Amino acid sequence: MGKITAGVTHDIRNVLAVIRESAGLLEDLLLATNDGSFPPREKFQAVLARIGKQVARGVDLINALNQFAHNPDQPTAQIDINQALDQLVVLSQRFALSKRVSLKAIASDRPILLSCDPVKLQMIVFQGIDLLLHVVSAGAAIEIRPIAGSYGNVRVEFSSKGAEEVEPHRLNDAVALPLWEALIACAENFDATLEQGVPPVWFAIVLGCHDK
Amino acid sequence: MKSWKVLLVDDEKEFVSTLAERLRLRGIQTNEAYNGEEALRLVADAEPQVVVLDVMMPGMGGLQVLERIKHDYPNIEVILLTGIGGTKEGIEGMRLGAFDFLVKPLQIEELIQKIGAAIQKAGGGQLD
Repeated sequence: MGKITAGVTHDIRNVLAVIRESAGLLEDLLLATNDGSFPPREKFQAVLARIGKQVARGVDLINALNQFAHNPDQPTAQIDINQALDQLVVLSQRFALSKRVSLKAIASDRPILLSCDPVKLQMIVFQGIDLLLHVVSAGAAIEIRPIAGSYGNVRVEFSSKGAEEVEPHRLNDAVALPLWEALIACAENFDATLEQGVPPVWFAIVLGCHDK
Repeated sequence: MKSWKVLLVDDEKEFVSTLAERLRLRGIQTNEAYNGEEALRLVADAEPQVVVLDVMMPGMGGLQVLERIKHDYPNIEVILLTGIGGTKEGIEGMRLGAFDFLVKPLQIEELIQKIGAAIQKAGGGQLD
């Protein structure tokens, strides 16, 4: 999977490079004729700036996708939890946008490293994101925050802020219950534990460290 | 008067030709090659000071071209272009004698800064 994705992202990267240089050339030509003789100049500059912003957005997405696709390369790896959460949040933005919810990973003050199966980590965190996207209301802001534990474990808290109150019992309603049960199954598979939280925290996934 | 001479090497023709045009607008003499064999011919004919070289090319890859350039023309500096997953190629390239590497898509200001630094290292002029 990593190899195929690397090939595709290489090509997408080339596409973005052509777009960036083409837009850049137009900007250069506009600058070279800065004598007021081109009436739609401001409009061109605004559109070119928009192109540049979208190219940067595309680069972030393919960087995250490339790293995501390489996760199965090793069954166990030393993972930077902040980077892993950030990557998943980037890749999950489309789902959050469709629910009109904001989704952010809040990094810890210091790096948190965990030796674990990167694919299982992705699965359990995404399961948590998916669950929360189904229970919060439009306009809410979901935050995912890692906290280093005392014994090498990591607590990943899933919280939300917004117009509605956090109602943990909603995890048991008809929509959320199957997703909550899927998250429980995922946690068991990963040797992690789930804890229901205190508002604004919905729940936390506690990830242990694994000896090789 | 700028006297910089640069060779751009990449199999993506539209990328190379557009970037070359932008560099020429800035007064930098620029030649273009779309594969490794053409790059080595132009290195011999045009004698650039700096080669900007894509790592991933069909046929003769960038690292192979780099080795040949550093063997035959040790004074020519090479800046590699890689993708984000290609940082190991960047590091391998540095080991083979590349001056530096950049990730595509690049920022032209950063490229020009690195070209200037490479030319200075090779004992060339400064950007006016």
